[in-house]
Amino acid sequence: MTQGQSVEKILVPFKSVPDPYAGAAASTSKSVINPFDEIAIEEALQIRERGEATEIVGVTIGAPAVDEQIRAALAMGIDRAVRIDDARALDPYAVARILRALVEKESPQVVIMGKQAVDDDSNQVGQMLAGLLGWPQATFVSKIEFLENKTRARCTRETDGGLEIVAINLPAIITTDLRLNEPRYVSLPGLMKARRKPIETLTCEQLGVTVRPMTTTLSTSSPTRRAAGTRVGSVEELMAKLKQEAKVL
Amino acid sequence: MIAIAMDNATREVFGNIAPWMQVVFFVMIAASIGVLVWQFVAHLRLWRKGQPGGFERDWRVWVRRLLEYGLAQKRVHKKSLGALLHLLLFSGFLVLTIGTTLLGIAHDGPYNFHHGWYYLIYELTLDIFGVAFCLGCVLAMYRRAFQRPASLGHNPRDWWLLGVLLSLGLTGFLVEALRMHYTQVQPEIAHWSVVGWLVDVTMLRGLEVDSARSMHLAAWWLHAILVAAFFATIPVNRFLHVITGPLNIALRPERPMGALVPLQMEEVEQTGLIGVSEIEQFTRQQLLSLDSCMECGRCEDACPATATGKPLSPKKVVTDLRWLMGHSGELHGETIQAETLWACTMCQACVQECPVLIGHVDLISDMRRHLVGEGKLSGPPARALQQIGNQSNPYGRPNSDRLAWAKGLGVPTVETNPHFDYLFWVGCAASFDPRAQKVARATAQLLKEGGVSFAVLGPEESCTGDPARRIGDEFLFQQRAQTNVETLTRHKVKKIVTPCPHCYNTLKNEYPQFGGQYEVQHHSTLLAELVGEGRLSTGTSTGEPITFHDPCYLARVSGEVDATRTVIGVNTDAQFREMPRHGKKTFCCGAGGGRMWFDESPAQRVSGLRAQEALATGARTLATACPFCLNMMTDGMAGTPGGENVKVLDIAELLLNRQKPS
Repeated sequence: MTQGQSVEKILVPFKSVPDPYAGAAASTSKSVINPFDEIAIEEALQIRERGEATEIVGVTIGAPAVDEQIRAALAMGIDRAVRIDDARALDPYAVARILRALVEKESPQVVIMGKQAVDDDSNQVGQMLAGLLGWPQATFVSKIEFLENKTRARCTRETDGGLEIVAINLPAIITTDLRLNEPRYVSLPGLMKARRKPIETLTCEQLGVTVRPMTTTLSTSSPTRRAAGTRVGSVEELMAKLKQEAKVL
Repeated sequence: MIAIAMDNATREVFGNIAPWMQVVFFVMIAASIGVLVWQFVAHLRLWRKGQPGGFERDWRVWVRRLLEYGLAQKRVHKKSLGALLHLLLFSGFLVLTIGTTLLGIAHDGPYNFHHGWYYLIYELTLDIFGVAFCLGCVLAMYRRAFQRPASLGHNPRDWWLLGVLLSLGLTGFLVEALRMHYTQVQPEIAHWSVVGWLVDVTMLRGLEVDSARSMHLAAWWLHAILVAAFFATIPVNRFLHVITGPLNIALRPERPMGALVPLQMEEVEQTGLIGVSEIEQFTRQQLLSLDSCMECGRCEDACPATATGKPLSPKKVVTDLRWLMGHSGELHGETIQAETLWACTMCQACVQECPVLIGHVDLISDMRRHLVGEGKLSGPPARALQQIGNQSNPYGRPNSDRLAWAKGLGVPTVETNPHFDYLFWVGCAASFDPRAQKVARATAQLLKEGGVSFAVLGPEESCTGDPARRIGDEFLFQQRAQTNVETLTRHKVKKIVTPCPHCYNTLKNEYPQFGGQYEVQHHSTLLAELVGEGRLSTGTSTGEPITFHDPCYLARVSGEVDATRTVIGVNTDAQFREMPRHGKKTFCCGAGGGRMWFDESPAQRVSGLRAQEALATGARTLATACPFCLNMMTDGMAGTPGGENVKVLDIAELLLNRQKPS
């Protein structure tokens, strides 16, 4: 860990997911950066804008189609991006192992990533990566402050019981909660400007990682549609229905 | 005898002034005008730092505007002391300036006609307008000293200007009186210089001729020095607008009020710049417009953002940018804050008020474009733009659900009725917002009942791009515009009717920039036509008091104020009550300029102010004609004591309720 005034490098892994707003039409809709990862990118940018970091490297895993989301991340303002060329649907553990190889190659001082991806909701990669690297971690973070010449970070975590504040030594893994920030908007000219920024493509072989699936998806199905409600005429009628039909009273 | 005297009537011009003094006088005046010109050139240099072009080139437009807004002062008139005193000052100064110029031509020109009846009428006219001028100065001083309107702003230089102007007028009359006294003008001629004569016979009675001559010399010099001081200080006080105002009035580019300036993608690619990040990136005309502001404060008085305590005053945007033009500093963050730019609803009230035609909304739009380009937009408005890009509507709903509102109505589509007369452009709000969907239903039912051949695009319809353009993502807007123009062309659309004034403005005033030329109607005008032809009935009044909120983009921007009232049946409804701010002078609901998607603290909601205004009329129904106004005013009423009893309805819903059940 360098004793500089700023963190030299932040690594932000991000995932491309189907647009969560698209709802029923998901099959036809566009992909976007996983919203939690977008928050991670935004946080890295804000840290750099405060003068507390010098370089932000983004990384994602996927086929060339995910370049669109990489462009969006570059347009938001990350300095450069790496795409691990692998079109398979990978387990969290496989993703964590690939990321470990990349962390060892890039040696960032902080890894900031979304706490989970909204497509599979696994919520495992950050924790597994910390375990594989033997690094401290702060998960579900809603506030990040750097301490003592950037050797430590104070993170506020959103837990079920309330807020928990932890101090962690760097290098470390930080996963982001919804309340950390509001990601900036990327306009079309921003996307065009980002064309000039470099995207490096690597394969698992080049990183020296062999991954194979550990789980198999058997089937997926949409949640059942909620039946239409009924409007009751009076409080008495409501009470009667709750007693006789719903049997909750 | 009198006739002969009249024929010979004239006066000396430099009679009491020795030739060497005349030389000193001319040198002094020339020097002061020199200072004025030098200062003016300095301003010109500042304007030239801007981007070339941006000026109106058609001289016929110049002439029309100079007559309308310059000479006739169209934007200045209203029932206020400020307007009255400006009329006095303006007419007085104009006539005195023309008079002085004529004196030079008449007396020193090749043919001296400064005598006889011409001379007498000349003297009378100048005296009358001299009085008007002095009265204007006194009223302006009174207003500044006692009324002190905050939006006007107060600076010691304002007192200097008014003091110099009033002293000029008063010393002018004194010089006239003293001249008449020592030249012993015949009374029948003296009467024509009515003020000078009155001063003479009341205040100078019994004064020795020689004393009068000396006093005249002193007063004349005082007057002359004041003239010189006045000229030299024009560039540093409000009087500069007398020069820059008409320049901007003539040269501002002619464009519909609701249309923003398109950007060229190639240009942005070349320069890497989008919008305005530094003062020099405004056009030369925009920089000139900053200098044409005389800080009257009318824009601020009309601004809904100012009225709700937001950090925006259109006047301050102009004066802050003007300051930056002559100083060094950052535009964004230092001179103009992002919150200031985001606070604008683009309701165009400031633009409509400005007597010298400053384009505040264009200035704000240019600066917003920079902010968006730099990634300075986040939160709900950012999500709305993202959804326009991803789902073709700001609500983020699948565009395949576009016809959800039409369930059970059998609404014809471009497929089922390819030979339609009118394309019914529903708009995103009426397609997806549950409250506004009822407006779409009502409109479709009325069109059917009125026997109109129409069709909807369904999933082929997409956001016009209006919120994107106003928030500042010009190219997202252009993407939408191009897609929509292609769709409309494919379906051979000629006539469009829409219940949304924002879609209406964009389709009508902005799509021609992208080759889309259509006959666009707001649903109010088509419904009014159907009422006029007897195909729909405005029915009978419910007997309940009703008022109408004019949507900005319909009334102010598009000038449509009658059709909506016809649909409501204003003429036959004795219970109709206008709000104080109505028609083109309407007050925003707070949703324009993309504000629909910004978070707002309850205390700062424009809709709350407007709801109070509507409630004060005693109305039990608030009608409007815009899905966004409908949404905002429903909220505004819900948050205002007494508002819960007021129904907020679109005119289409109102009209549908009044159709006789068939």
